[in-house]
Amino acid sequence: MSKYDHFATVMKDESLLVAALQDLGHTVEVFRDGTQIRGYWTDAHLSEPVHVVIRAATLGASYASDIGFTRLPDGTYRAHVNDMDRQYGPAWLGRVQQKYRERATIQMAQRKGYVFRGREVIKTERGEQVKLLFGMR
Amino acid sequence: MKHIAVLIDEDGNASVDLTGFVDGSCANVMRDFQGDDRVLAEYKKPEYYRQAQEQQHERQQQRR
Repeated sequence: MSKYDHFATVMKDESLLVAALQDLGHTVEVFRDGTQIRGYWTDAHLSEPVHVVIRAATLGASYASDIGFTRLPDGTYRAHVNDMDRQYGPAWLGRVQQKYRERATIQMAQRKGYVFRGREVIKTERGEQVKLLFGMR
Repeated sequence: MKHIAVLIDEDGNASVDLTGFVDGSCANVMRDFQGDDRVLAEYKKPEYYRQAQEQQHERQQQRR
């Protein structure tokens, strides 16, 4: 038996979400009007439509299920991950949000006229942190 | 020289570190980088209080 777990996120921008997933090496499909996903196990299906999909076939694991993101009325995306796919749980979603935040910060800063001066990756006890450096014009 | 450093952890939580802001513009910069995010904690550096003290001192001098 398997089922889909659902995770709230703060991500709102479709193009940044897609780019963040691609940064992590995923192949992504986008459905403006939503589509259905289902798990490797036939009993695992999702009743709500998803708008951003990573197909199971692209995940590399033998028994992986599709991963989906649903755009909610408040603009945020809700992630759906099959509970059998343990490598794509909260830690993976955290890294997606880290990539998303990185891209969103650089995009906002450049739009507002800040100068991007570089990026560092810092290894800490709590994992890798990304440091973005900016200056003023 | 004004520097802005944004540190993003593996959950996507960010912290912003501003240095060299002595003209009071740090609040605007902070607003830009905060965006719609909720602020969990805010710490002001000693240079912020030093700058506030200097401004108060200047105002007092001007009144005399």
